[in-house]
Parts: sequence; structure tokens; C-alpha cells
Amino acid sequence: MQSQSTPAVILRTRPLGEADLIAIVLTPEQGKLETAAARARNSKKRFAGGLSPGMRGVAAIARGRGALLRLESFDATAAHAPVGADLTRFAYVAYLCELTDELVLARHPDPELFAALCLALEQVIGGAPQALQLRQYELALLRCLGLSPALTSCCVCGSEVGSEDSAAFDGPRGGVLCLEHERGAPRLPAAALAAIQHLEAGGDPAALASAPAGVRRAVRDAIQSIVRSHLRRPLHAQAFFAALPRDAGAEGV
Amino acid sequence: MTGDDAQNPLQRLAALLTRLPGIGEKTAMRLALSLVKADGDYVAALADAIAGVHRQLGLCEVCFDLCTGGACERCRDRRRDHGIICVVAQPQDRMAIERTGAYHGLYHVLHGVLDPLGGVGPDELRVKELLRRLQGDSVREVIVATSPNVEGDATAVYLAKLLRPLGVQVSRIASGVAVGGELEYADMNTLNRALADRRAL
Ligand SMILES: [Zn+2]
Ligand SMILES: [Zn+2]
Repeated sequence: MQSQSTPAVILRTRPLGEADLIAIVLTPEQGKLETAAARARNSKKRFAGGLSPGMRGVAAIARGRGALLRLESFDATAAHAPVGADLTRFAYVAYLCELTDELVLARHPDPELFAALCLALEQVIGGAPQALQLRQYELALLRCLGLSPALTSCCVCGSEVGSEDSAAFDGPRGGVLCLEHERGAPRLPAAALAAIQHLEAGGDPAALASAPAGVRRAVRDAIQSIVRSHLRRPLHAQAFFAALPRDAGAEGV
Repeated sequence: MTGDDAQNPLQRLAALLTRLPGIGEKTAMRLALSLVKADGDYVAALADAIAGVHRQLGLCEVCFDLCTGGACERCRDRRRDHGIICVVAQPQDRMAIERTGAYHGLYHVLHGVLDPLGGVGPDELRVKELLRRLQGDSVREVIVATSPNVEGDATAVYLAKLLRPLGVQVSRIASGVAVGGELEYADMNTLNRALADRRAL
């Protein structure tokens, strides 16, 4: 049967028998797909650079027997070798893939989400990996899933939240809160809220690189409180990152 | 499988064989049938060898390669260079390097490579055991011979980071275009690697 070519990102693979792999791939027009890659572990021609999480390329996908999709070939279109050369980058790429795989439902195509993942991978793999790039992707992913946090008006009543030196922010409840609804909510420094707004608006994460570590941590904790409330289990990539020797400047995933 | 099949010794053997890597149902039945026809002494020796491999083989207490107890023959061999350790992911990799006949140092088997999504971090590998072998100053060089893929590379980077402060020379096996291969057919990542790992002529 004729195979279809599509841009794709490898999210995860697992062995299938001796030489085959199951590859979970994200595509812009067909969403997340589970495919079987026959002889992927020894075919130097059809899977020249191997199949590794975070690889971007062009996949040829054909319908197999029944509902099974066959990954006929995968040609990398972006350099992937830098991933193995830096442990922070290695862990970040794993995190981006695992987070996407966990939160995105199969066969719900979303070209915007695909573009956001490709952008995050390009930033992390093509340049210096920074935790704020992950934060921006988390916000994009939440947006695509319809789970964006409220950042300017109360997530309960919609009233404008004044700009003080800090705002009440409760991730699982939906974002910032007004005076009337803020009871018990954690405080988020105004600088951290502004940073989140900057990332959410598509601003360059590098512009925040010089922000104080406390602000960057507050950004991470605020966004991750939302992400965590939608995950069924802790992510392996986070445990992995925690077990690595700490690089100066590398922030938790 | 029906009750009759489960009772049938041929079916039972074939079913057990299919659990081995690379053995499908057809191959399993062919192997089972060939055992039916085989010489009785051979079948007894095979059964004994299969039971023995599980009973007698453990891990070398020094390098964690497969061995029949205590230290393996390579770790005990005084003619080998004990100042150099080649680190591999799995016993098969040690066997492949040993087959070249070009290496005469010792080995260390990690039993895996770093794999964040598979839940394999540094603590799941035999890394602490490697560090223990480097205490004292008898080892001067460690060659990291993990596969040239992302996971193998990351494992090598991790080890280099850990070992360099100990004053040991750490190197990585070279990789790039396959010997006998043609350049125009090499993929982008392999060519990138071949260029990065180039050496002076
Ligand atoms: Zn309110
Ligand atoms: Zn040994």
C-alpha cells in the first residue's frame, strides 16, 4: 500500500521483538500516532540515523494490517547528535517528548502544537538549552489543550487583577485570583507573572535569562503546578534530571 | 492453546521456545521437531547446558561481565594491561571488542545506558562500581565504548564528567562513516559525526 510522507517528531520508542520498534510519533495533520517500525534496530537505510526521542524529520507512514500503522522510513531533517553531547540537553529533550506524549491524546491533530514542539526542540538542540524554553513550551501545550492559566483577570470571576508587587496565583484552580477569591492562594512575585506573560505572548525566553534565580524558580513552580495537576504520574525525565550531577546554571525541568 | 495442546510435549516445548528473542512460532516448531529426531545424548547435553547457564553464570565481582563465580578470566589474567579499562553497555559489546583481538586491557560492563524515558538513570547502571575500581592509581585510562547513538553518547559524557576529576584519562571510541560504505549514502547525523571526529593525516 502507498505510504504517506509527513513531517514528524519521534516522541518515544519501545522494542517490539528482536529487531522491530514501536515508535510514537507526533505529526501536524494526523496528531499523535503509534506506528510499528519493522527492522528499525538494524536497517541502516530506512532509519539511517536511528529513531530517538526528539528527532525531527520526514516519516513515511502506511496503513498496515488492521488499525496498525507502519513506519516505513524516517529521514532526520535536523541535526540530532548534539542531544547526546550535553546532559542537560539530553534530559530537556526527554522531558519535552514525555510531557507531550503524556498530555496529548492520540489522533487529535494540532498543527500549532506540532510547531510549538519543533520550536522548543530547535531551541534546546540547536542552541544553549535553557529551562525557560521548557516553560514556554509548557504554556504553548496548555494553550493547545485549552488549559491556559488566567494571567490578567481572576480565574474565578474574571475581574481585573491589580498590579502589586505580587499576585495570588493558584495553578490547579486556573491562574491569578482577585482579592475576593484569593483565600489561601500562593503569592507569585510580579516579576514572575510578567515573565510568564512574556513567554505566553511568544517572547524570546533568552530575554529573561538574566532574571534573578528566584524569579525563574517561581515561574517554573507556577507553571508546573498546572502541568502536574493534569499528569497521571510523575515524569521519568524529571526523576532522571534530578539524578544528574548539577551543572552550574541548569535549572530543574 | 487447548488443554490437549498444553499436554502435548511438542507443543509445550515450542511454546517455551517462542519466548526466546528472534524465535517465531514456525521456527520454534522446527527446532522442537529437530529435537524429537535428535540423538538422545545430544538432547541431554543441551538440556544440561541450558540449566547450567542459568545456575552457574553470575556476574564478575570486578567488571560485572558474565562469569562463573568470583572474578572472570580476563580480570584474573596478569598478562592483560590492568591500567586500562574499556567500559561497555552490555556483555555482547565486550564480546565484540574481544573478537577484534586488538584490545588487551580490562573491561567494565555497565548493564545499560542512560535512558530518561526508560527510567534508567546513573543509579541503575554499574557506575559506583566503576568509580570504586578507579580508587588508587593503578588505572590510567578509561575507554568509553558505548554505542554511537544519543543514549550511548550521553552515557559517555556523564562518565567523562565523573571520571576526569579523578585524574584518569578518558577517551571515547571513534565513529563515523562505516568502513566499506559509500559517503553519498551516509545520513546527515553520521556525516556530522564523521566530520566532528576527524583526525590529522
Ligand atoms: Zn475573583
Ligand atoms: Zn571481570
